[in-house]
Amino acid sequence: MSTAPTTLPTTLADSMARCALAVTAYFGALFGSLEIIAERVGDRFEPRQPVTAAALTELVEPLAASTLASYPVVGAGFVVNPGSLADRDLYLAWWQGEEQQPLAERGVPIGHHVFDYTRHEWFQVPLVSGARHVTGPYVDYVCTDEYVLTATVPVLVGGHLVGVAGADTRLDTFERLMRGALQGGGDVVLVNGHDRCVVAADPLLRSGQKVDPTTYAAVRALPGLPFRVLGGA
Amino acid sequence: MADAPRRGGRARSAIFAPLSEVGRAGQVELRLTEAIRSGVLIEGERLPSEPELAGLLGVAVVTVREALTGLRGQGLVTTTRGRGGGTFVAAEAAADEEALAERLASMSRAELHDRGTQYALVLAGCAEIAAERADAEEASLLRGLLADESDDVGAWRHADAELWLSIASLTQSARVTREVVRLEADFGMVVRIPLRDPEVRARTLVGVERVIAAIEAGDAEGARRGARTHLQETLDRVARTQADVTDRHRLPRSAS
Repeated sequence: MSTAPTTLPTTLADSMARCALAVTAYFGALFGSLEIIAERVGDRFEPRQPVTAAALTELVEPLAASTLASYPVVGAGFVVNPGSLADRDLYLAWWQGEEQQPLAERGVPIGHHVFDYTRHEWFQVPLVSGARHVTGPYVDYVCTDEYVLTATVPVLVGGHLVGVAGADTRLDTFERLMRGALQGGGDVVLVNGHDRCVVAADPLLRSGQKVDPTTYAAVRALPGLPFRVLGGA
Repeated sequence: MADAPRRGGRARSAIFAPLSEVGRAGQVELRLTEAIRSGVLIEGERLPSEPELAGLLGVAVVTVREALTGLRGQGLVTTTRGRGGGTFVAAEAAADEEALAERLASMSRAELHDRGTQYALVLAGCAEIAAERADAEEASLLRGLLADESDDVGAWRHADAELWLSIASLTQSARVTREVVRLEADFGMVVRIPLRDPEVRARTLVGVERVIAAIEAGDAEGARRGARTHLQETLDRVARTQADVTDRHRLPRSAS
């Protein structure tokens, strides 16, 4: 009955498909939640009236709370592109942790120490590509101090980026979510756009480790995500 | 490049983590003092309320109150009452070189060497593993963190702390990164005292550029050695500064 147009063992092909499905399902749902934040923020910027940090915070807070409540993420919110707000240049309307603490306190004078997030991949890639992105795994020493995957969605108003809506998933959490999909089905690895391992069936393959895709028998791209599933080293 | 208040991210969590020896106002005062001097808590920033601080640090409210009185006495914080009131980090609090010198003078030589050994060991280890694990693109981002001649001493100190935190994050270990955050909150301000001297800044730039180049080249051994050499030179400068400061602060002996 083996009419599959592949020379791969069925179990490996199945495992790769299972892995791809689990990744796509998780990020598909999370991006859905981020698109809601993006849409509401986009609407607010639409009338071309100046938007203040306080108004933005008020708008985003319940939306971020909903994302934090619905998905196993450690932080969520909206980060502005400089020049978009009336009263701030850089601003993070971002909540994190069990207590959903706001990252940027309001009503505090601007200090002389600066933190420019615009060079970070999670901001840079959606800015340049205009498309959603997942960054990581990386140690986010700026916000969570955790090893995370950051999903970001650009918010464009009249072709101009006003910022990105995003959420952080701890790699611990993601690994647990993926555990079932990676069990007992051969050598399957999820790699990011930098060919770094995100999660793998092989216990010796560390998250973040560089992987050479050419040493794998099969490669499966994940549409709309900067990930690939490799199989059969 | 646009500016925003750096809220210190999780460096702040290290500051507000429970103390091992509970109930000592002096410890609370010292920890907050170092956080302000090192720039983790920034000018104009509102501190958590007294009950919040007590909860975060695991001490009694009365202990926090005593510590804040001490900080006010040092001119590091100001307190305003009523609506919108609270305790704020005072202006120019971080730039007080005299207070930095006093902090250095209050340490024994043994303590300075003890802390210095830990600091150099952890950061050199970070540089080594970062070189193994970072790709060229990540490594080249480190160059964007360097301060230049036109920056003031505060910007230099901040840029240097940011650089080592970034190197730590390239180990891809959250725990190692948090350990560096803790070391920076604890000891970073002391290590960066000599940066007030422009010549030291020029040498620092040479030292850290060598480390970055090794990380870019994936040369783990070179990165470790480069970091170790640079940090040892830095710590030697701090030790000499401490000797100078201790001489200046030595009380005149009573005639006997």
